[in-house]
Amino acid sequence: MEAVYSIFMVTARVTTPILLAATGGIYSDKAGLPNIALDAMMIMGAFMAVYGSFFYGNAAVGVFYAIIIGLAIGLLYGFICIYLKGDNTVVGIAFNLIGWGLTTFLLPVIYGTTGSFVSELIVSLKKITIPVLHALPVLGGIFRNQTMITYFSWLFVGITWVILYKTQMGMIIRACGENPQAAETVGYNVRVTRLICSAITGVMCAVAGAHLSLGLMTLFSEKMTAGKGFIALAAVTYAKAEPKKVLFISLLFGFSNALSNQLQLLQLPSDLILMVPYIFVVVFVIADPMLHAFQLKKRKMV
Amino acid sequence: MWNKMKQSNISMVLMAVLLSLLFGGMVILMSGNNPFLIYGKMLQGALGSRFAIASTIRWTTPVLLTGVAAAIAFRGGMFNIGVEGQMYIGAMLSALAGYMIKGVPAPLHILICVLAGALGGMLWAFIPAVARVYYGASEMVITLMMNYVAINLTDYLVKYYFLAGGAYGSTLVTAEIEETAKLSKIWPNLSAHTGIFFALFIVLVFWFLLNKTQLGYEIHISGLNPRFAKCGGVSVNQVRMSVMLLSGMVGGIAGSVEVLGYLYKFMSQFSPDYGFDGLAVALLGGSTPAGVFLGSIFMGIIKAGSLQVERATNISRSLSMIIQGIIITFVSCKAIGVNGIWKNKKQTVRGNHSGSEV
Repeated sequence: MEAVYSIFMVTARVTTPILLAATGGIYSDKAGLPNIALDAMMIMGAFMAVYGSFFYGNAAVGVFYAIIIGLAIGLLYGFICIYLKGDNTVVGIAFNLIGWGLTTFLLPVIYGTTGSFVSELIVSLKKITIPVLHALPVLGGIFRNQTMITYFSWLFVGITWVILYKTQMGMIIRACGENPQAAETVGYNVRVTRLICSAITGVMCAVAGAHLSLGLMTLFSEKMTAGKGFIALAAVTYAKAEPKKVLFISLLFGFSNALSNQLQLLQLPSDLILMVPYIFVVVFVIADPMLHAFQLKKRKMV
Repeated sequence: MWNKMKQSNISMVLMAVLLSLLFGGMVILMSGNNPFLIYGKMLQGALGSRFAIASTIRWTTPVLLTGVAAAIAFRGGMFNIGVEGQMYIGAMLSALAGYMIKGVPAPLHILICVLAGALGGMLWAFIPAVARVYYGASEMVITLMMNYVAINLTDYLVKYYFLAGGAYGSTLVTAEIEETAKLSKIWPNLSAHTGIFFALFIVLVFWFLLNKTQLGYEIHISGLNPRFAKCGGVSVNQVRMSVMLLSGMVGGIAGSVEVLGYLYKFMSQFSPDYGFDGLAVALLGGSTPAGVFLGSIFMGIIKAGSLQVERATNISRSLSMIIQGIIITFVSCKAIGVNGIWKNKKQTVRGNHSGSEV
């Protein structure tokens, strides 16, 4: 039973950064300015979170710093793509390079160490257990010992769905993505909408990064996102920016990650187990359209 | 991708380089160093001596190949982020061929190893190609995920089946390849190896393929406008398939050349993101052979230079990534350059939603 609890607990924990970054990415994607620099914003967020937490002794300051840097990068990305007419794929790739480079570059400049920075002075995020829900039979693990950011990430997917499909704001965002000319004609400001969406994406990715460096671990190391931003990107791309599908893919990845953590206890080769989450996603991404094609064929035969 | 980039001309690229050196200088200044001094050291470390030039060539070689790999896919309208993974599989297979096959004359042995690498890369690209062409699954997502699979898979295979004991201690490496499989050095005891000629040959083949063959024309058209290509009788699916396979093949060769020319064995996690560098070079050079060629030389110079800077000062080698990133950003900005920012302001906004609709 404890194993089940811990699988769900780890699932929630590991899913958080991916889910949050991917949900943030939905806004950009829906507004017609897909952002592939999620990883860069994540790692910058992780870096600034450690910076704030280390120098002010307060995790909240760390998260605040992450939000500020996320906002700045999101706006910059939007500005470059919208007003300077940069191609978003190219700029995204460039931003990723800059994100990895800058954090690696600043590590020795600020802390005087290379590789990774560990210190007792970094305050991590408080773990909160929700009173009643943590005693739920199977899913209780989700509500045990999680950071605020984890709870927020669950909430945020729901909020995003409501905003996108139930409010006027969401309609404007989707209009800007689906038919910018029409949106412009009706009188919406496509550029500003895209800029705002880009900023939202930046902030969410940076907070996801803060969860990495202050929630999952209490340190910063070079390339510590380990491609999580790209997994979030994969989730957004595959889901065509639908919140439900994004949630599903993020959970699939988080769950298979937690499962592989448990499998490690069985003394299977760790390298093989590390592959499991990625293979899960590959198989799913291939199988889904395959099944669709199969169903279509069947329907035609009948 | 290609048609988005082709508008960039020489003056814009120069402007971008200048601007990025300026911004890079600001970053250096922030870290409390003199930018001019650092740039001087960088240039010296990349071109100032025979050692420096050898180092530049050594870093140019793999990026040239991964750049071609990424560019082929771009030109055919596919987004292959999986060059890194294809490179790992290629490197692994060619290292195995390098030390397991014995008693073959040198040129033949090298050829076998490169073929093994090419085959490995092709195989790894086959899965996303089939998934995309026949089932419409996003090749970007799959190639991306398969990078991590490749890195962990090669780790596992080396650890459990092909581990070289002895001198290497606990590092995850295979045994060293036979003398007959090694590419010779250009100068004795310096890092540059003859793999660069091979890479240049591949760039030439890429040029020939694009400009002088029917497949090249079909690749060009289906990348530019798949619907038009279909109307003209081009089997876009077939083109996409071959483009992915070719891209994977060159990616595999990149791994193979790295093993035969420099590492002499397969080493776990050997690549410092060559695949990503290749992507950047392809984008920087507009996915043309000449662009990839110039871009990778530039990349090699920055890399060799920043390594020298790291040796001489306390500045991290990651400076090269920052400069690369800024350059690429500026090159992609159509508004900088001739027209200026504000003239474009009145134009209507065009949609650029991700290319899933094709």
